[in-house]
Amino acid sequence: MSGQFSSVMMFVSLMAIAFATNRASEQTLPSEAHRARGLATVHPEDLRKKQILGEFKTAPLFPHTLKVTGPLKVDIQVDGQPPAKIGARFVLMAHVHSTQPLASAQFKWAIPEGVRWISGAQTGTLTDLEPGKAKIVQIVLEKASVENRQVHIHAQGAVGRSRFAAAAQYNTELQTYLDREQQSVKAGIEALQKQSQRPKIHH
Amino acid sequence: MLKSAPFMMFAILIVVGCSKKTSAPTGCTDSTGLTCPGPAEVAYCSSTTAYSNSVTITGTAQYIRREPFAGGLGNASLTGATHPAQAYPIRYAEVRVLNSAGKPIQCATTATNGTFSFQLPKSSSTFTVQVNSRAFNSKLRASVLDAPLSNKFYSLTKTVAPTANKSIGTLTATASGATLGGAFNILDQFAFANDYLRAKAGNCSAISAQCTNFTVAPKVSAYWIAGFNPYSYYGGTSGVSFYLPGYSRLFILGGINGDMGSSDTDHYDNSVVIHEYGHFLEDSMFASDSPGGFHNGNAVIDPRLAWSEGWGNFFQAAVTNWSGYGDAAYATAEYIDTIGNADGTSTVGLSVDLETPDAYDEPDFQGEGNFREFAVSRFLWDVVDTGTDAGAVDGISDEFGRIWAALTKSSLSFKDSNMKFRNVGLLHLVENEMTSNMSTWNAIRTLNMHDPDQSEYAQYVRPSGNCSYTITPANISTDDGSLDSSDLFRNNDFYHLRIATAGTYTIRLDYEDANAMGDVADLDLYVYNESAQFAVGSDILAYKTSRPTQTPTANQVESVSVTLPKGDYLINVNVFTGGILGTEAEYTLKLNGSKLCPANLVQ
Repeated sequence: MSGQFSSVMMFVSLMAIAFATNRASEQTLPSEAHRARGLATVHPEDLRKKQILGEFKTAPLFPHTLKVTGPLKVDIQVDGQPPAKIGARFVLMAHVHSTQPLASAQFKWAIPEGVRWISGAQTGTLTDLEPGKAKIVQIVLEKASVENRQVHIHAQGAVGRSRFAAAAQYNTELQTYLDREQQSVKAGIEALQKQSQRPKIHH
Repeated sequence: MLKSAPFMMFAILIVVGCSKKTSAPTGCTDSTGLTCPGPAEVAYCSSTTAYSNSVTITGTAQYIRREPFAGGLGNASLTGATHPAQAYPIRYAEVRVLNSAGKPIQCATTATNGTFSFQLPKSSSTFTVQVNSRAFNSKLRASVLDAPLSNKFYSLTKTVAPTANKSIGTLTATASGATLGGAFNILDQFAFANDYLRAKAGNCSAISAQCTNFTVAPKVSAYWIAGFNPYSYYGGTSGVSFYLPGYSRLFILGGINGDMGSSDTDHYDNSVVIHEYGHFLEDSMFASDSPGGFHNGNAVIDPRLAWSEGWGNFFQAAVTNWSGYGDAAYATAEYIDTIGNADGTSTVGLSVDLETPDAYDEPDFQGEGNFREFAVSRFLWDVVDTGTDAGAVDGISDEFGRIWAALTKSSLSFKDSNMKFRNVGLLHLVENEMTSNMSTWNAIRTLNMHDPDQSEYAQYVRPSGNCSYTITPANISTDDGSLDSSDLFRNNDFYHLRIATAGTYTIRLDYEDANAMGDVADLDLYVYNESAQFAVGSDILAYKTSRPTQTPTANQVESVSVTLPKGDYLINVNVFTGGILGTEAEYTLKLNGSKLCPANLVQ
């Protein structure tokens, strides 16, 4: 049994060596491999080009269609500690992103019963949104119920007559738990992705 | 917050918890559960039983639909002061009658007006009548279920004691609380899609003898839970509906963490529901090569994705604008997606006009329309609409049957397994081959800036002839020089290579400075497998990314030697934009020394 295993490992190793030799002669290597081989053999401009080109992407676990969602994205983070008890004040920061340049976008917070508004604009307009540069809006609230309450923000914009929007949610009691669960699922998915793409002969 | 929210949150946590398991369910290797078969659905009830000494029980089933309006999604009440809901019949659905032991003793199907009728043995016993969120008959084959690891349908129920002929009245799926109206609305949108296809493609053999007249689509399963975001299966937080190719499963957004009032939901966004069903149709009745993934509807994207999404956007408009649809809220050719509803804070998540470009996803260059999803949608819409385009009558209207024939006929179509890298350019080629009448659609091709072929993406090439190509680099504001941000239309060319015999092949790119000024663009060579997700490492079989020497007359070379099994591959010539942009390059591609030149796969 162990002999069979060794043979398999040997075969895999030989295949890997043969493949690496093939790549080294004909394909420019990713930047990590460059470093492993020593920078002395690499022209600085080649290295720079590799760095700009960036790493290849990872394939999704299950290719799936996604509904079209428009250029705006928004997410909410609590700035500091989540509200622990009634009367506790907390700060929510919404990051509004656009995947394309946008002259303006409007935002609106939806504050439910059980949460008291303290300060910060509940509606407003953001201007000159650029891809990769989030605009931040902030609001200060006070917890007024022991039950979980959901605070929302909507951000909306337009190009011509076409309109689009995005929404995000913050849970006063459950957010930490939900974030942890989400991270756990994500980590599991990423592990599966890596597993499913590991033994590739070609790159 | 909705009264039912605690229950919803509980259900959602269970679903999320199941999807989080690191070990797969028994007999399935997918720990997310998305692709696992799960327990079998309860057997469909289709056999009518005759009883002696019977009575006839009648009833009606309806669902309540919240309607979209300019400010978002409307009221749950039929009598709401503003933006009231509408009631619609539950059509083609399974009716199941259970005895006190839970055993089915009678089956029926709801009619087009939602009525149903069945016989029961005359008795003073109590029976339970179920109208279920599924259908499997000559009109519709679909189930709206809760989750893949559960496979439970939704039911409206009422009890009856069949002491005499009687009506049990109206069973109503409401638009608030448990929101069963959402499940039945999803089912009804599938029914409308099938109705439309019967009306427009029920006689498509008259257009092409190879087209099978549409009767009913294969069975689909739609998974939906009120308040639940199916993107949770992937660890995502943004609200998303999606289709899972190869599994006939679509997932509809029911809300976020139990909330439907201010969060994104899709069970009443009929544009989204029918769009996703459109993906199911391409997966089950013809074929798609879409790589899937994120798209914001206003960008140059992979033409296979643009085709697939553009088809879905178009199909929903074709169905909802059809005279048989009958909902005034969808009277214009728009894609409408709402967020929240009148019970909370609502807005329009996406509203795009399919008739007039209006700067949203509008191409600037000839050929770019093949790379933009709404440019694809608008072209298809122009084929079926009855209005004028570009200020003039285009002479084309109500020609969905031609589209369907080009997609589904048995050979030289999207369905044909010989076709690869399917995109709208293939539709143009197939349609031309089918009707030899390309000029008819040329006006709307031009209007939407489509190339009438695949010259810009997946041009089929063979090692024969003598040819060269050119590419002129473009400065794109969203391009940071990385491969991932490269503009697929302006800074890339793609060629479809078919390898008939497995072996080791040398693929070589030779290019030179078209203006002989020594400032030629930096071209790189990539060879992708058949799935060819752009910039995805596992799909790139070989690549070469040397820098040009910038000598005016020098021939620049990128060459790879790669072992290729028999199959189809995509050769990508990419402009590296992270250095000096450079100028036009003239290039040739060679396979083992023979030039690769355009050939016709559709002939």
